[in-house]
Amino acid sequence: MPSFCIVALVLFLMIVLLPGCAYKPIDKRAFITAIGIDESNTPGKELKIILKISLSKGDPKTTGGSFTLLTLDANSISTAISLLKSRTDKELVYGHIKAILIGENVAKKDIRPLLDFFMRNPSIHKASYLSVAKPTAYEVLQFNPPEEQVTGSFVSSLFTTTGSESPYIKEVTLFDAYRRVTEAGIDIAMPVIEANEKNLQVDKIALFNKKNIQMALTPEESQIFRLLTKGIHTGHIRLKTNDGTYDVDIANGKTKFKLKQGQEETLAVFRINLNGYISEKMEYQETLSEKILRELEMQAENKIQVDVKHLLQKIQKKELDPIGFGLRYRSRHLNPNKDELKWNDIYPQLEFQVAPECKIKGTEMID
Amino acid sequence: MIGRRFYLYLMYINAWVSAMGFIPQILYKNRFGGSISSIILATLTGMLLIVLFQRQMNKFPGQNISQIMKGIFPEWFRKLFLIFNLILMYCNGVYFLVSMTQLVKTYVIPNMSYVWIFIIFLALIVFSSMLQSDSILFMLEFVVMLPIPVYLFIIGKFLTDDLVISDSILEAMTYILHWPNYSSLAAATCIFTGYTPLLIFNKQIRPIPKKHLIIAGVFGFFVLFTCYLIPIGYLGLHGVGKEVFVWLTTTDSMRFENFLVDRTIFILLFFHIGISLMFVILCWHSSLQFLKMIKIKNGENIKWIAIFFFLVAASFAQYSIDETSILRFFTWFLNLRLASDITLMLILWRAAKNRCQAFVS
Repeated sequence: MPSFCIVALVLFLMIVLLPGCAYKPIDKRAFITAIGIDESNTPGKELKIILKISLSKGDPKTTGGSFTLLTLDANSISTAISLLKSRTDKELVYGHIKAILIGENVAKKDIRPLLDFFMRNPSIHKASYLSVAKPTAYEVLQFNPPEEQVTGSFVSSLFTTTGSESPYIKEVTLFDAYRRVTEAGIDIAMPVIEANEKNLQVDKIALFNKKNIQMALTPEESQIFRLLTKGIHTGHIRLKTNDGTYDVDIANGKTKFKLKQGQEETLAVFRINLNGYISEKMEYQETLSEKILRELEMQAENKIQVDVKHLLQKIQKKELDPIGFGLRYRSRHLNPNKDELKWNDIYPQLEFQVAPECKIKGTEMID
Repeated sequence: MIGRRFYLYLMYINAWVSAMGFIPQILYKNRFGGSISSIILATLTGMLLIVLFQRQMNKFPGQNISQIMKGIFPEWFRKLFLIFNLILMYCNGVYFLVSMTQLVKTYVIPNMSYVWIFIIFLALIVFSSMLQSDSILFMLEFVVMLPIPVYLFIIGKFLTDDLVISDSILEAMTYILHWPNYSSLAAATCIFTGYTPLLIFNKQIRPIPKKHLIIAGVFGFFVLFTCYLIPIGYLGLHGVGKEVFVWLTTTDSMRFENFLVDRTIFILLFFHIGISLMFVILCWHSSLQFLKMIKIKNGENIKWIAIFFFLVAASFAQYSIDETSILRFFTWFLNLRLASDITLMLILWRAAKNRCQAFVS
């Protein structure tokens, strides 16, 4: 009999607890797919928060996601979010945010409080993508690509490896950005999304110090930057020889670097491995000879060497460290706390040695 | 008597629950100090404890701690020791219960109040902890086996992820020259002391061969290093100290693009909650068994009185411990636990010695 009582009690408890509790049904929820933060135009308010809310019906066959934008001016994201609750009839769900866009003007001030908010909030995916939006996050979010299947997926699939893979993008996720803020010896590099009249364009990388945006790279520099950090699979360079101009597709490019203690100065030695195919030649010729291929390899190596050195010195002059030389130095020395002071003196004097090895493997379908 | 593999399950559940719960946070407190050397020292201590414990226990096949101590130690000491162990096991359970409530509130159902979550958990735990020891062990086997694929996925993702900064992990290793400190050592050794439920279950589990001890030791070593180093690879050596739920943020940082769901954290949470509740059940079951061994008069009623006290104390703990102080409580608890484990070893050693003398004479 007592066991019956227990079973009855447990069943009763289950029945009491089952009907939803604090759950809200799915039709009473609004799914936010992207969030943007801009500088506010209203005097007295600092930020303008834009939430992109998906109105998708969940049919995978249709394209063109419909969405609505909620905007509000406030001094912090939390204030804006709590105020926005009174402007919508649905529960706002932040768990599906795929992209976080930071307006250019906000990025020029201080991004640390923003990162703090997003890392603190448990419902936000820590692997969502961060990017700088130009001219404003509102304009980027407002853009509605017709081929988009789920609202907001356009922006996020630019960065994933499953979608299009551009050599100009080095993606940064939320946790990665926060780690680069906290960790000593490595800084943030964030892709820039530009809203033009008819399309979105992501081919520049912005470099940050621990606090705000410091410089932006050109598309060519961005490609080199990606080669130095993540490596590229779909790159492209243009080479000029005596025989004419050639376009080379880079099928695979990888970089490793080492810090070496020279006699007086510290050296950063880069080993770059590239291989590619000729994709286009500008002037008509009978056939491509072996000699020309070797010459092209030489040309490519020289070009890469010059470009990489130039980029590294440019970054060094601004005292930024997006590649993580400082971290590498700390990780290779015992008791890093003492070395930290020294590193700040070493970095401006750091010498770069670039050793590219380029291999042009073929000429694709025709000679 | 049931299979020897249950010994490994006991070690396994303790190691995973501690590693996912609090051990990393306590170790990260001294990440610029003696954590790495503490971990290495703890590995040695832990393996030594495992081997010593089993060598003593194998001299008492099929006996629980009460039967071992009977006749060798004075009655008051035996009771005191059992009561101490009862409270220790109970507290262990309560800490995990409270932290589990906080975790569920934060991640799964933020709209629900703490009280309701707590009541639901208690309803499950109280009734299951009163089951037979055999049933508890069978339940343990089931709960422990399910999440293994998820853990393997996470390890695999870590090994292939290009967002991991290996320099941060190496930097963590550069602090190896600092001296170990006690609280890190106590926390890290905790991974290896999953054998304590054997004081109860020695009756159920057959004597354990050496091979199992080696597996348990190597497994503990592996868990300890992965639970310390993987979050550093994702969150950075400086950032890792800021996190409250280190491992959940780490799994949330992994992107499984071609997996069933984008955010693996919810799959992990599901198993983590299950396995932690199982651990609480195991702890409270041990507590109740210790109570049974003390044998204060009219055995059956005392159980319900004890359960009542369990519930009241747990509710009080739930009410008074908040997210920021639970780590401090847990550090104290682990410091105490290492000392108590060493005491336990001395008691067993003494008992075994007396037993031998009695045997010879």
